[in-house]
Amino acid sequence: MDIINNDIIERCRSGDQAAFRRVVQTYQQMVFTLAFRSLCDEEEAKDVVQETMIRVWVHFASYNPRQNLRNWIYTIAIRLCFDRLKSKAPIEPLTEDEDYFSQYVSDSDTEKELENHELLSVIRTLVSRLSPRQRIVFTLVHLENLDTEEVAQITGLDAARIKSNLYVARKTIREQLKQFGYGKDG
Amino acid sequence: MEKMDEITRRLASQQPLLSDADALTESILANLPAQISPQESPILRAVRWISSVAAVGLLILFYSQSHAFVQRPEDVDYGQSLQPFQSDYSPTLDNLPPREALRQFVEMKRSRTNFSDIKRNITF
Repeated sequence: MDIINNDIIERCRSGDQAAFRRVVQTYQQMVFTLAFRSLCDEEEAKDVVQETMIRVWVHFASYNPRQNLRNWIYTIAIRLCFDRLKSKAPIEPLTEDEDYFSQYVSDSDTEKELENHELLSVIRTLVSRLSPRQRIVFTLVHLENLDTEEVAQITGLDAARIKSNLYVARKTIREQLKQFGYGKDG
Repeated sequence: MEKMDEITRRLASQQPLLSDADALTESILANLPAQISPQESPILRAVRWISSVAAVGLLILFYSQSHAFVQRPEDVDYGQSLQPFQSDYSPTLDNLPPREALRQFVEMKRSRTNFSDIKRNITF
Protein backbone atom coordinates (compact mmCIF):
# COMPACT_ATOMS: atom_id res chain seq x y z
CA MET A 1 0.00 0.00 0.00
CA ASP A 2 1.36 3.41 -0.97
CA ILE A 3 2.02 5.90 1.73
CA ILE A 4 -0.03 9.03 1.37
CA ASN A 5 2.32 11.86 2.27
CA ASN A 6 1.46 15.24 3.77
CA ASP A 7 1.70 16.98 0.41
CA ILE A 8 -1.08 14.79 -1.04
CA ILE A 9 -3.17 15.28 2.10
CA GLU A 10 -2.80 19.06 1.91
CA ARG A 11 -3.72 19.03 -1.77
CA CYS A 12 -6.81 16.94 -0.99
CA ARG A 13 -7.74 19.34 1.78
CA SER A 14 -7.59 22.21 -0.69
CA GLY A 15 -9.85 20.38 -3.16
CA ASP A 16 -7.38 18.77 -5.58
CA GLN A 17 -9.18 15.82 -7.18
CA ALA A 18 -6.02 14.51 -8.85
CA ALA A 19 -4.44 14.12 -5.42
CA PHE A 20 -7.59 12.47 -4.12
CA ARG A 21 -7.35 9.88 -6.89
CA ARG A 22 -4.17 8.64 -5.20
CA VAL A 23 -6.01 8.33 -1.89
CA VAL A 24 -8.85 6.36 -3.51
CA GLN A 25 -6.44 4.06 -5.34
CA THR A 26 -4.48 3.47 -2.15
CA TYR A 27 -7.36 2.74 0.20
CA GLN A 28 -10.25 1.37 -1.85
CA GLN A 29 -9.03 -2.24 -1.60
CA MET A 30 -8.64 -1.87 2.18
CA VAL A 31 -12.19 -0.51 2.57
CA PHE A 32 -13.58 -3.13 0.18
CA THR A 33 -11.96 -5.96 2.17
CA LEU A 34 -13.27 -4.59 5.46
CA ALA A 35 -16.80 -4.13 4.11
CA PHE A 36 -16.74 -7.51 2.34
CA ARG A 37 -15.78 -9.29 5.56
CA SER A 38 -18.19 -7.30 7.73
CA LEU A 39 -21.26 -7.33 5.50
CA CYS A 40 -20.73 -10.63 3.66
CA ASP A 41 -21.99 -9.04 0.45
CA GLU A 42 -19.79 -8.07 -2.49
CA GLU A 43 -22.07 -5.47 -4.08
CA GLU A 44 -22.83 -3.87 -0.75
CA ALA A 45 -19.10 -3.75 -0.04
CA LYS A 46 -18.58 -1.78 -3.26
CA ASP A 47 -21.34 0.63 -2.21
CA VAL A 48 -19.56 1.13 1.11
CA VAL A 49 -16.29 1.86 -0.72
CA GLN A 50 -18.01 4.53 -2.78
CA GLU A 51 -19.84 6.04 0.16
CA THR A 52 -16.73 6.01 2.35
CA MET A 53 -14.56 7.72 -0.25
CA ILE A 54 -17.17 10.38 -0.89
CA ARG A 55 -17.38 11.09 2.84
CA VAL A 56 -13.61 11.22 3.08
CA TRP A 57 -13.54 13.77 0.27
CA VAL A 58 -16.39 15.89 1.64
CA HIS A 59 -14.89 16.05 5.13
CA PHE A 60 -11.23 16.18 4.16
CA ALA A 61 -10.98 19.81 5.19
CA SER A 62 -11.87 18.86 8.76
CA TYR A 63 -9.39 15.94 8.85
CA ASN A 64 -6.67 16.40 11.45
CA PRO A 65 -3.33 15.59 9.73
CA ARG A 66 -1.89 14.43 13.06
CA GLN A 67 -4.39 11.55 13.02
CA ASN A 68 -3.51 8.39 11.09
CA LEU A 69 -5.22 8.68 7.68
CA ARG A 70 -5.74 4.92 7.41
CA ASN A 71 -7.49 4.82 10.80
CA TRP A 72 -9.61 7.84 9.89
CA ILE A 73 -10.80 6.08 6.72
CA TYR A 74 -11.30 2.87 8.70
CA THR A 75 -13.48 4.80 11.17
CA ILE A 76 -15.72 6.17 8.43
CA ALA A 77 -15.98 2.78 6.71
CA ILE A 78 -16.67 0.80 9.86
CA ARG A 79 -19.45 3.19 10.91
CA LEU A 80 -21.11 2.77 7.54
CA CYS A 81 -20.80 -1.00 7.83
CA PHE A 82 -22.17 -0.98 11.37
CA ASP A 83 -25.18 1.12 10.32
CA ARG A 84 -25.90 -1.27 7.47
CA LEU A 85 -25.53 -4.32 9.72
CA LYS A 86 -27.95 -2.87 12.25
CA SER A 87 -30.55 -2.00 9.65
CA LYS A 88 -30.56 -5.27 7.75
CA ALA A 89 -31.87 -8.69 8.76
CA PRO A 90 -29.42 -11.17 10.33
CA ILE A 91 -27.37 -13.02 7.75
CA GLU A 92 -28.47 -16.60 7.34
CA PRO A 93 -25.92 -19.00 5.87
CA LEU A 94 -27.04 -20.59 2.61
CA THR A 95 -27.12 -24.36 2.14
CA GLU A 96 -24.06 -24.31 -0.11
CA ASP A 97 -22.22 -22.13 2.44
CA GLU A 98 -21.95 -25.03 4.82
CA ASP A 99 -20.57 -27.28 2.09
CA TYR A 100 -17.89 -24.70 1.22
CA PHE A 101 -17.15 -24.23 4.89
CA SER A 102 -16.72 -27.98 5.52
CA GLN A 103 -14.40 -28.25 2.54
CA TYR A 104 -12.44 -25.18 3.64
CA VAL A 105 -11.80 -26.30 7.21
CA SER A 106 -10.88 -29.85 6.22
CA ASP A 107 -8.66 -28.81 3.32
CA SER A 108 -5.01 -29.54 4.02
CA ASP A 109 -3.86 -26.92 1.48
CA THR A 110 -3.99 -23.87 3.72
CA GLU A 111 -2.52 -21.57 1.05
CA LYS A 112 -5.29 -22.25 -1.46
CA GLU A 113 -6.76 -19.05 -2.88
CA LEU A 114 -10.53 -18.88 -2.77
CA GLU A 115 -12.91 -17.18 -5.16
CA ASN A 116 -14.89 -14.28 -3.69
CA HIS A 117 -18.09 -16.32 -3.42
CA GLU A 118 -16.26 -19.15 -1.64
CA LEU A 119 -14.65 -16.70 0.73
CA LEU A 120 -18.05 -15.17 1.41
CA SER A 121 -19.53 -18.58 2.18
CA VAL A 122 -16.83 -19.35 4.71
CA ILE A 123 -17.06 -15.96 6.46
CA ARG A 124 -20.86 -16.01 6.40
CA THR A 125 -20.95 -19.42 8.06
CA LEU A 126 -18.38 -18.39 10.62
CA VAL A 127 -19.94 -15.08 11.74
CA SER A 128 -23.65 -15.65 11.08
CA ARG A 129 -24.50 -16.02 14.78
CA LEU A 130 -22.69 -12.88 15.89
CA SER A 131 -24.37 -9.59 16.67
CA PRO A 132 -23.38 -6.56 14.50
CA ARG A 133 -21.03 -5.24 17.20
CA GLN A 134 -19.41 -8.64 17.84
CA ARG A 135 -18.96 -9.11 14.13
CA ILE A 136 -17.31 -5.70 13.71
CA VAL A 137 -14.94 -6.28 16.63
CA PHE A 138 -14.13 -9.83 15.49
CA THR A 139 -13.46 -8.64 11.93
CA LEU A 140 -11.19 -5.81 13.04
CA VAL A 141 -9.20 -7.90 15.52
CA HIS A 142 -8.96 -11.30 13.84
CA LEU A 143 -9.37 -10.60 10.14
CA GLU A 144 -7.90 -7.09 9.84
CA ASN A 145 -5.27 -7.82 12.52
CA LEU A 146 -5.70 -4.51 14.36
CA ASP A 147 -4.72 -4.21 18.01
CA THR A 148 -7.16 -3.31 20.77
CA GLU A 149 -5.99 0.28 20.93
CA GLU A 150 -6.62 0.82 17.22
CA VAL A 151 -10.01 -0.90 17.45
CA ALA A 152 -10.91 1.36 20.36
CA GLN A 153 -9.92 4.42 18.36
CA ILE A 154 -11.85 3.29 15.28
CA THR A 155 -15.03 2.01 16.94
CA GLY A 156 -15.20 4.36 19.92
CA LEU A 157 -15.61 1.35 22.24
CA ASP A 158 -13.47 1.08 25.36
CA ALA A 159 -11.01 -1.79 25.84
CA ALA A 160 -13.29 -3.69 28.26
CA ARG A 161 -16.20 -3.70 25.80
CA ILE A 162 -13.94 -4.77 22.97
CA LYS A 163 -12.66 -7.69 25.04
CA SER A 164 -16.13 -8.75 26.15
CA ASN A 165 -17.49 -8.60 22.58
CA LEU A 166 -14.49 -10.54 21.35
CA TYR A 167 -14.88 -13.14 24.09
CA VAL A 168 -18.52 -13.78 23.20
CA ALA A 169 -17.72 -13.81 19.48
CA ARG A 170 -14.95 -16.38 19.92
CA LYS A 171 -17.14 -18.52 22.15
CA THR A 172 -19.98 -18.45 19.62
CA ILE A 173 -17.67 -19.35 16.74
CA ARG A 174 -16.10 -22.15 18.77
CA GLU A 175 -19.58 -23.60 19.37
CA GLN A 176 -20.33 -23.20 15.67
CA LEU A 177 -17.18 -25.17 14.83
CA LYS A 178 -18.13 -27.90 17.29
CA GLN A 179 -21.30 -28.41 15.30
CA PHE A 180 -19.14 -29.07 12.26
CA GLY A 181 -17.16 -31.60 14.22
CA TYR A 182 -14.18 -29.45 15.06
CA GLY A 183 -13.40 -29.26 18.76
CA LYS A 184 -10.66 -27.25 20.42
CA ASP A 185 -7.93 -29.50 19.08
CA GLY A 186 -9.35 -29.53 15.60
CA MET B 1 -3.22 -24.23 17.23
CA GLU B 2 -6.94 -24.02 17.85
CA LYS B 3 -9.04 -24.66 14.73
CA MET B 4 -10.71 -21.27 15.01
CA ASP B 5 -7.36 -19.47 15.09
CA GLU B 6 -6.15 -21.45 12.12
CA ILE B 7 -9.27 -20.54 10.13
CA THR B 8 -9.13 -16.86 11.04
CA ARG B 9 -5.41 -16.71 10.22
CA ARG B 10 -6.11 -18.18 6.79
CA LEU B 11 -9.02 -15.84 6.21
CA ALA B 12 -6.98 -12.82 7.32
CA SER B 13 -4.23 -13.69 4.85
CA GLN B 14 -6.58 -13.71 1.88
CA GLN B 15 -8.16 -10.55 0.56
CA PRO B 16 -11.23 -10.62 -1.65
CA LEU B 17 -10.55 -9.59 -5.21
CA LEU B 18 -11.84 -6.16 -6.21
CA SER B 19 -12.35 -7.00 -9.86
CA ASP B 20 -13.13 -3.62 -11.40
CA ALA B 21 -11.01 -1.37 -9.22
CA ASP B 22 -10.31 1.24 -11.92
CA ALA B 23 -13.98 1.53 -12.80
CA LEU B 24 -14.80 1.98 -9.13
CA THR B 25 -12.16 4.71 -8.78
CA GLU B 26 -13.53 6.55 -11.83
CA SER B 27 -17.07 6.20 -10.53
CA ILE B 28 -16.06 7.68 -7.17
CA LEU B 29 -14.19 10.59 -8.75
CA ALA B 30 -17.06 11.31 -11.14
CA ASN B 31 -19.49 11.64 -8.23
CA LEU B 32 -17.51 13.86 -5.88
CA PRO B 33 -19.64 16.61 -4.40
CA ALA B 34 -18.29 19.93 -3.10
CA GLN B 35 -16.10 19.75 -0.02
CA ILE B 36 -17.35 21.14 3.26
CA SER B 37 -15.11 23.85 4.65
CA PRO B 38 -14.38 23.48 8.35
CA GLN B 39 -16.86 25.88 9.85
CA GLU B 40 -17.85 26.38 13.41
CA SER B 41 -20.90 24.27 14.14
CA PRO B 42 -24.22 26.14 14.59
CA ILE B 43 -24.53 24.79 18.15
CA LEU B 44 -21.13 26.15 19.14
CA ARG B 45 -21.99 29.49 17.56
CA ALA B 46 -25.29 29.64 19.53
CA VAL B 47 -23.53 28.71 22.79
CA ARG B 48 -20.94 31.43 22.21
CA TRP B 49 -23.64 34.04 21.46
CA ILE B 50 -25.73 33.10 24.53
CA SER B 51 -22.72 33.18 26.85
CA SER B 52 -21.74 36.63 25.53
CA VAL B 53 -25.22 37.98 26.20
CA ALA B 54 -25.23 36.40 29.66
CA ALA B 55 -21.84 37.93 30.45
CA VAL B 56 -22.99 41.41 29.40
CA GLY B 57 -26.19 40.97 31.44
CA LEU B 58 -24.21 39.97 34.51
CA LEU B 59 -21.94 42.99 34.11
CA ILE B 60 -24.94 45.33 33.89
CA LEU B 61 -26.52 43.67 36.94
CA PHE B 62 -23.31 43.94 38.92
CA TYR B 63 -22.84 47.59 37.96
CA SER B 64 -26.43 48.54 38.87
CA GLN B 65 -26.31 46.65 42.18
CA SER B 66 -23.01 48.12 43.24
CA HIS B 67 -24.34 51.65 42.59
CA ALA B 68 -27.62 50.97 44.37
CA PHE B 69 -25.80 50.33 47.64
CA VAL B 70 -23.85 53.57 47.57
CA GLN B 71 -26.16 55.88 49.53
CA ARG B 72 -25.89 59.49 50.44
CA PRO B 73 -25.47 60.10 54.22
CA GLU B 74 -28.89 61.71 54.47
CA ASP B 75 -30.51 58.61 52.94
CA VAL B 76 -29.06 56.23 55.48
CA ASP B 77 -31.70 54.48 57.49
CA TYR B 78 -30.87 54.51 61.21
CA GLY B 79 -33.36 51.89 62.16
CA GLN B 80 -36.58 53.86 61.91
CA SER B 81 -37.89 51.75 59.05
CA LEU B 82 -37.47 48.60 61.10
CA GLN B 83 -40.28 49.63 63.40
CA PRO B 84 -43.63 48.12 62.49
CA PHE B 85 -45.48 50.40 60.16
CA GLN B 86 -48.92 51.36 61.32
CA SER B 87 -50.98 53.25 58.85
CA ASP B 88 -53.71 55.44 60.16
CA TYR B 89 -54.71 56.61 56.70
CA SER B 90 -56.50 53.62 55.32
CA PRO B 91 -59.31 52.97 57.86
CA THR B 92 -60.70 56.48 57.54
CA LEU B 93 -59.98 57.07 53.88
CA ASP B 94 -61.50 53.77 52.79
CA ASN B 95 -64.96 54.90 53.81
CA LEU B 96 -64.85 58.24 51.94
CA PRO B 97 -65.73 58.98 48.32
CA PRO B 98 -62.57 59.03 46.12
CA ARG B 99 -62.34 62.80 45.67
CA GLU B 100 -62.74 63.50 49.42
CA ALA B 101 -60.31 60.67 50.29
CA LEU B 102 -57.70 62.18 48.00
CA ARG B 103 -58.13 65.63 49.50
CA GLN B 104 -57.79 64.33 53.07
CA PHE B 105 -54.81 62.21 52.13
CA VAL B 106 -52.99 65.21 50.68
CA GLU B 107 -53.86 67.23 53.78
CA MET B 108 -52.57 64.54 56.14
CA LYS B 109 -49.44 64.03 54.11
CA ARG B 110 -48.69 67.74 54.17
CA SER B 111 -49.20 67.97 57.92
CA ARG B 112 -47.04 64.90 58.70
CA THR B 113 -44.06 65.54 56.52
CA ASN B 114 -42.91 68.78 58.03
CA PHE B 115 -39.36 68.99 59.29
CA SER B 116 -40.20 69.24 62.99
CA ASP B 117 -42.04 65.92 62.93
CA ILE B 118 -39.07 64.20 61.37
CA LYS B 119 -36.71 65.81 63.84
CA ARG B 120 -38.86 64.77 66.79
CA ASN B 121 -39.09 61.17 65.64
CA ILE B 122 -35.40 60.65 65.08
CA THR B 123 -33.50 59.61 68.16
CA PHE B 124 -29.80 58.98 68.19
